[in-house]
Amino acid sequence: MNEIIVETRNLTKVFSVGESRISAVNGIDLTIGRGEFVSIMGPSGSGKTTLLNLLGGLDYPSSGSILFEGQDMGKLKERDLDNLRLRRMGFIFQTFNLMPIFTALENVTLPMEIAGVPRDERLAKAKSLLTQLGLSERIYHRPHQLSAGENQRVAIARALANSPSLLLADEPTGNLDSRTTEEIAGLLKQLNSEYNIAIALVTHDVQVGQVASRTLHMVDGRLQQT
Amino acid sequence: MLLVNLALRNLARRRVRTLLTILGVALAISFTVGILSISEGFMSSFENSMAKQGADIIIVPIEAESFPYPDVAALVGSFPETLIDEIREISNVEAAYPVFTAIPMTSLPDKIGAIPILNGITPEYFTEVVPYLELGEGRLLEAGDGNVMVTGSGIAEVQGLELGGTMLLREREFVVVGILSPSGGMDDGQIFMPIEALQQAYDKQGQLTYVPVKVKDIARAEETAQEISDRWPSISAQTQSSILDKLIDLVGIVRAAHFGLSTVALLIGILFILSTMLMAVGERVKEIGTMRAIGTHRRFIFQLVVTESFMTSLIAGAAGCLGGYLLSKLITFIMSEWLGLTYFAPVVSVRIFAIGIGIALLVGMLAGLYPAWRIARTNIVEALHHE
Ligand SMILES: Nc1ncnc2c1ncn2[C@@H]1O[C@H](COP(=O)(O)OP(=O)(O)OP(=O)(O)O)[C@@H](O)[C@H]1O
Ligand SMILES: [Mg+2]
Repeated sequence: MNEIIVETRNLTKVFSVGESRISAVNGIDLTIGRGEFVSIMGPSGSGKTTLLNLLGGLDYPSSGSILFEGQDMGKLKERDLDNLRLRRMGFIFQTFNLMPIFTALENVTLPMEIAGVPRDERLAKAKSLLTQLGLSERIYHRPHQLSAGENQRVAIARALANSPSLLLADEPTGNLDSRTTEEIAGLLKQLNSEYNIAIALVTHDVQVGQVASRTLHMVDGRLQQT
Repeated sequence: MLLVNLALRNLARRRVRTLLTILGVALAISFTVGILSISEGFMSSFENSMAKQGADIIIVPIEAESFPYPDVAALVGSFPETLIDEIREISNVEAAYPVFTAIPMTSLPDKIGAIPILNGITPEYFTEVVPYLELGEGRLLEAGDGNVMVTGSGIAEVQGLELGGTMLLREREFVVVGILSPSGGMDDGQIFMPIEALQQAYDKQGQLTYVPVKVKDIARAEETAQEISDRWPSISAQTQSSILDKLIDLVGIVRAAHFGLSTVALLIGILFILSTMLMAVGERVKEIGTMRAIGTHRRFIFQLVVTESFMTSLIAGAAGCLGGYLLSKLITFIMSEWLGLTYFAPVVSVRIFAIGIGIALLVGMLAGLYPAWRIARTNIVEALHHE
């Protein structure tokens, strides 16, 4: 494997609810290299979402550490962690999570605007991404004027806006029909090879999981490599 | 400006709710600005008349002791003119000006402002006691004048008095020889006539109701007033400064009432915007969670909510000032058209607008802080789960 993007060491997340303690992520050592496409599968409640949240810095581990491009995420201030997510990672959600008041174009320019990219540059970048994702005729549509598959493609464009090195996608096809699922899976594969961008994809769909170069199985907070 | 753009679009997505909130806050501010301007009007009317008078001591009948003003004195009693010569004998008294005041109450007019206050004076009263009054047209009173009058601008307007016109008073015709320029004070409702003519009209020859006095040594004015009051039990002498002090107390009370009113408007505004912002933020939890997830700082979210609150309240503040201005215009209209009180014009000053905008700014800030803090501290993962 070449350069490492993210590496976890004995990563653990314990949730305490009342008396019970649930180890949602239980001592995981995981390494994802640059441009690697990893899918994470496993039964419901096995800790996939929790693991992805930890990798994306949305949640803090109970113990263990995550090195992202060599940086220990546990040692970063909140602001720096925000910046890491803004510039180095892209998030794709099952429910798309687009800003309803924004057009497709504005949704894609948003992360660039937050990152301070000049106006002309971000407009050009957003238009080229949307065009690449087949949405050149839809850039002024709002989320409610777009189909589910189109919305997810806008969300993918948004995730790619600041040229991240890692895409985190939690069941991105969970709300899509089988044809659109295939389309989105193929798209992710294409972007992965074209931009050499690493992808961590959580899915219940075996077909989707197969587009990845490596599939991890998660059971009770642990990884079973195959 | 991402912040402003986002804030505006968030406000625009619930137009009706935003407009209703703005309306509520604007109404509270309108009433505050409107009422403040009326009470400012009364205050400045006082300040433009009483406070400018060129007298050091005011003498009224003892019955008017608590309210030593000419109009009150006219209603409660009088004292003999002969006293004035004795008063002039007092060592510290430089000059004393005889005034006989009357209020014609024979038939009640339909407008209170149409009731004039008639001042019987000697010609030097204009130059010595009310030198701040300016002649608009015609002339002032002269020695040897008979049944003539010089009227304040307000009362002239309400009564329809014109130069050369006449007013019937107790079966006598008085000719208008002069009309004063508007002073913005209570003098605009006064009519000035030769003292003998007015005394005769009222069958009160040799009676006075009001005597402004000038002293030689102002430092001893209090002492002199006391001396006069003590010597003639039928009259009360008070220094102009002690009368003004009472008015200043009144000003203080009115200012306190202003503060109370502004506070109520502030609270109403805060409650309006607070409930709206809490609602607005509550329905955007997931969206804000997403913004945080893709790298927006907590502080930006906080600023966004405060900006939305600020914009709402600033628009409301501007609308409220405009509304308050229109309200005061409406009240001016009612006062002059229905009551004839043309000389109690509300004052919409920069200070009052500043209070209106100040309330708006405070409202925006105070009402925005809590919702902003609440949403900004929400955990990202929980927010993303929110439906
Ligand atoms: N905030 C939380 N508080 C308490 N327990 C939690 C919390 N989040 C997750 N869990 C628990 O952690 C375990 C793992 O949850 P997680 O959401 O990671 O599972 P998952 O593999 O993503 O499941 P699914 O496939 O259904 O999405 C579950 O048992 C869940 O109940
Ligand atoms: Mg999950």
